[in-house]
Amino acid sequence: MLEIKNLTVKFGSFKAVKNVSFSIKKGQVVGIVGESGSGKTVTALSILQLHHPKSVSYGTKSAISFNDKNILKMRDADIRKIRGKKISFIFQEPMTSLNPLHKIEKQIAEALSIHKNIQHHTAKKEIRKLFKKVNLNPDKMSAYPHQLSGGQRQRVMIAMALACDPDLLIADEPTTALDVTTAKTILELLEKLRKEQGLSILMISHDLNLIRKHCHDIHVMKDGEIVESGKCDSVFKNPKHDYTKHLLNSLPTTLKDRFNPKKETILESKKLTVKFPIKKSLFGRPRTHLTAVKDVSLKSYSGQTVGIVGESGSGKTTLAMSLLQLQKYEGTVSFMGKVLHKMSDKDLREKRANFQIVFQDPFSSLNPRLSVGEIISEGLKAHNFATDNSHQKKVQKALEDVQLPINFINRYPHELSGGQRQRVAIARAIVLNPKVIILDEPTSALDVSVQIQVLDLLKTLQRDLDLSYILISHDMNVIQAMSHYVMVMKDGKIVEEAPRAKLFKNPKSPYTKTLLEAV
Amino acid sequence: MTPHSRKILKFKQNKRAYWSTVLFAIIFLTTLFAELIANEKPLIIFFQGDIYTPVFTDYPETVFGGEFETIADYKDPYVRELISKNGWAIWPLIEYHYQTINLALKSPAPSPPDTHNILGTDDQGRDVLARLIYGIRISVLFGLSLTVLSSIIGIIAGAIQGYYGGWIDLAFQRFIEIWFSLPTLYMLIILASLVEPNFWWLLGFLLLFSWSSLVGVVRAEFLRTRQLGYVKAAHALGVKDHIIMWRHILPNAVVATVTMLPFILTGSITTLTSLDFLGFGLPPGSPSLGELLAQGKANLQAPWLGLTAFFTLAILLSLLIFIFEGIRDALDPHMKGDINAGN
Repeated sequence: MLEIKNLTVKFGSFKAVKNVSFSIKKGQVVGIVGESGSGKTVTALSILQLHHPKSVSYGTKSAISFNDKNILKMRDADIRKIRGKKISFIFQEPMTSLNPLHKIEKQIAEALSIHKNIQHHTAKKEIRKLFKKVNLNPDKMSAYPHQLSGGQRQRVMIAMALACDPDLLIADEPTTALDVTTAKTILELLEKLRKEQGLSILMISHDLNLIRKHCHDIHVMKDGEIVESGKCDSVFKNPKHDYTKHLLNSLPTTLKDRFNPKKETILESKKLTVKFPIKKSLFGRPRTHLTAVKDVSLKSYSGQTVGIVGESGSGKTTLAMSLLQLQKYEGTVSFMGKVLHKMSDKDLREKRANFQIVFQDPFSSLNPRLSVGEIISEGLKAHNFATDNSHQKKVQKALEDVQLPINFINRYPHELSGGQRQRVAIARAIVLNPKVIILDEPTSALDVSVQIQVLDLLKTLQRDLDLSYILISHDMNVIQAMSHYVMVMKDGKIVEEAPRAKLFKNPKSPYTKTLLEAV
Repeated sequence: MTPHSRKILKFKQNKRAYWSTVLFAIIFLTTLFAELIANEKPLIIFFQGDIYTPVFTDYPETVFGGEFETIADYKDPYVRELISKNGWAIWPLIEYHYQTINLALKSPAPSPPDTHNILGTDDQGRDVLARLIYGIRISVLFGLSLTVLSSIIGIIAGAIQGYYGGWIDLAFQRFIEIWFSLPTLYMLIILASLVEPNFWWLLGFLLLFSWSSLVGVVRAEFLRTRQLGYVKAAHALGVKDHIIMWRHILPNAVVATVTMLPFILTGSITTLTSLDFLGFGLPPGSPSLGELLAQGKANLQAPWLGLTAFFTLAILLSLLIFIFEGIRDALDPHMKGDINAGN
């Protein structure tokens, strides 16, 4: 149905996609897998000609034939008839791809009125049908996007994409922004629609598990080229290209160490509760609260990792912020036996060197205006640890520890890759010789192969420096690879906690079971 | 290339801003040395083998063989003759101070432009060009000081509000609303009836009512930036609040601030001008653009007064706007025409 031949896409002199050829048959699911910057999305956008026409140029031999017509040579008006009607697109971010100012109903009606010429009053019926198709309560029709959860929004996106009965659905990382349990239901929905309607799907993802479960054919992309393609099963069983092997090997492996409760307790919280006021009375007294974290008691031991796993909105990050004393809370947090919230600001600031954090997004957690050296030495300066001369040495030592070259000292964050930035963030934390580091989704913004390197680095550092980690993640693989002890969090409460081996073998609570199944 | 040299290069590439800067610099530097350019005293007198510098030191007439012990009036033909008999004098380009009344006018004041008074004289027989040079100096200095001071106060106030938020922010915002709804002009009139307003009085008083313009943008920028990851990271490192504000947040507010600056600067200059125009400004006799405008209005038969004041203000304010436009574009990393585009 769709055939791409020798597709080359250039932005100025930069070739984003080189000589890519593949085809999609009716009712087939084709997966493109690759890391960020490999040209997956550029390829997908070319199919619908969604690049800015002035900045893009195509190779002379390139052709994208859809039902035997070359899309690259079509006029704008003809392409518009294909967009949305014959080929639909689902984007990664359901947050930003819906207009926040309009009701869902109106946004779907727009697609209907353009392609099917259905007017507003008859559109309602049509939308109701679509909502049933994507398992969404039709009452949600008159909701605004912010009133829906991520999963519901993605369903709305799918409903919009299906509005005109397309032949081909392009799904660009359809579940990356969603929680694991939600992602599972969305993928099941796509599978159901494929069977019922004979829909073809082009699935783009960096997630190997997802591709493996849902695709017939698979194409592995690297640096704009397809390095390996074939039937999904055969590629996963017998990868031929080195890069494919490398990708398959980059799934994190389970930690071998066992949980040992006899080690020294570093950070401990007792009955930690965080409430956010929702409504306030006239005089500013909160009337109702949202309890983000409820009665969480945890202990971190030196040289070991406590993993906290939960989906978005479960209060993981709020918990981390409270442990760091960056968020008001009830209950107590003590560091090596000393209760932190009773300390004066000055004493607390001095103690801060002992508990550090590594944030999820290495792009926002480093000040773009400071060089790597300045970023790492900031904590040293704040704590007046030593003279300038020994600052330099400590910064160099920290860079060595995180396996970065020393000449990185004078670079700026924008010159570094995601993995390198995260290493700098880790260096910034360890340069202060902390006892405990809170890792807030340390690898979820990184590519799979980089992810495994960063996890290995963290393990090495833990062993060498006897660090205690509190690892926050939504990814069961990461938790399994790092944690000695696991706590499962849902709606601000700990629903289950146990040493790793025990939890993964015998999950007790039904929620833990669904989490484990969704992997 | 370091970010700074790139910014400078980008500024230079903007021809209009670059030449405006050069022109403004020339005008401003020249007027800074107004005493050496327009004065009623010679720069150097060579008299009977000795060198005298009347601009810097006062000499009695007797030094040059005159009769009075009072300070020599070098415009007096008698004194001039005394000096030229036994030596010589170098005069400034314009032989009038802003207060000098030209007593040798051929037509009644205000007299039209001629070879002695290039831009004519005002209604008291004072040289317009000389007054203009001194007037530009005082206007620009006033504008710059007011801008710098009110920016400093405004940035600090905005930073504190945005950074701490909550009650501090709420209370401060209400205070600003009340404070800046006071009618400035009436307050000035009251002030003028209590003291004789001079440069410093006016500066201080206008400062009280002008620092709010930056508060809004700086506060907004701080509210936004304090949520960013690297600010939280700095907190977690134990960095002190004022260092976080200075090092991590303030640079983000610079572009927004610089965008506002030209309006504050031109606003300051025009405020002084309009006060002078209304007669509530600098003390009588001071050289000022506003007073020249008022004279132009009172003497419509002498168009050189009004036209001079108009063109001076128009050119001065335009130059400033062009300069700041260039600075803003150079600082903004998102502007098109980046010399690094395509890398």
